[in-house]
Amino acid sequence: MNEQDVSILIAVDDPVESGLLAKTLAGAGYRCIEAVTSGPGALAALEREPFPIVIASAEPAGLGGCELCRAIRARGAAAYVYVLILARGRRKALVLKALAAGADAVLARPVDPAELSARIAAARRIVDLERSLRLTNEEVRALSIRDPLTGVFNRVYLMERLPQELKRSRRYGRPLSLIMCDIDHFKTVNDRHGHGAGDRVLKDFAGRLAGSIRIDIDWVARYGGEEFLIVLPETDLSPAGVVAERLRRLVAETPFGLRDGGVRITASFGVASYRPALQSGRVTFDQLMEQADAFLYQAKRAGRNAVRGAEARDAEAKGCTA
Amino acid sequence: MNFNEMAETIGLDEQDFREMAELFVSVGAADLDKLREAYAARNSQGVVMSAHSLKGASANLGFSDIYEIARRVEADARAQKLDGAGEAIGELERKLAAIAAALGHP
Repeated sequence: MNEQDVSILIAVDDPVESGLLAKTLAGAGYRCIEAVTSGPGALAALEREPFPIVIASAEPAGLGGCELCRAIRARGAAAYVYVLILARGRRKALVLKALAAGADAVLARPVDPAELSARIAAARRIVDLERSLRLTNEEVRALSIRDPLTGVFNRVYLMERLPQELKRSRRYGRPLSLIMCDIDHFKTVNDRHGHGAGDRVLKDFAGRLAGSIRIDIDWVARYGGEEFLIVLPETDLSPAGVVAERLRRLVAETPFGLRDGGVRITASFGVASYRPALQSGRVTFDQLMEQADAFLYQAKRAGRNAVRGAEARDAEAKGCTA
Repeated sequence: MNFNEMAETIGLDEQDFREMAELFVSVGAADLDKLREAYAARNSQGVVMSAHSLKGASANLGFSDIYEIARRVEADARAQKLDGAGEAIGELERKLAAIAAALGHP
């Protein structure tokens, strides 16, 4: 981050002091400076833009610096805000009060320009460190829930999120469907074309699944080797069956491109749906997954390249062919 | 009044300093009006507040004579002593006018 890039919010009620701070900071190369004259004004500015650094006088109108500091800490925003409080003199009680309220540093007034620049440089170190740590954490989290080969969610994420989806479905009385699918005779792809080709088929297959479901509502996870689970919230058996059938055709009708020409593959699909309104007993997420799996094996037994499914409540009934 | 030197002391260039001094003159005039009113009403709390504001702004720019007078008025008013404030107001007026004149105000 260049000096010019960090935005600084000044919350100081004295216009002369506020203007001086802005000019001093501009002279030191900071270009993104906004000044407000009250504590509530500072909070409103922080709602609009995530200022990483806030300079507040101990008594801006409406809300003292310490109260402003507490309010900033209580917001619990994702990014850290470095708060510098300006206090007349270096009275120990005020310094302790400001630090206890969550301030990072207290600067004596009138503000010495060299000290201000040095303080802001120190603030930059903290803010930059926090930012890189936060971005790394987000990256690690994003990587930890994805399958590295196909880019769809992995089993760890599936086991974490599916119970939440089921809970939500139960609480609001909304339907939830699962499609378990498995590439037919995947072993022969590996045997004939090599594991690299097998990997490319898996990638393409996952991409087709992920690309033809509702964005931000439905999601796909790689359950095992060539087995994937699609989760469809707010979806009954019949539309879930339609989705499964569409996916079946999307796989079967378009060959998978490999270096030595295309390879035709098919997949089998098992659909299980949960409708809280029709369900007297409790269905757990693993029961629902087992049912989807059982229908997947019915589809395999029926000759593969097929869809089978039913609602969870009458799992023993004849499966539909969607 | 050497603005160039004063600007250097607080790390600004002269043009920026003059801009801030202009701001100080107008904000200071408003503070002085409030100070005058509060003094006329023998409202020591009002005297404390307006003197405090003048004190802070003058300290920031290094107008040390204004700072000294305002500091004394504020301290006296806190102790409920308003006797010297009338004279101090006159002094403050002259000091502010001198800054305005140095800035080229008619």
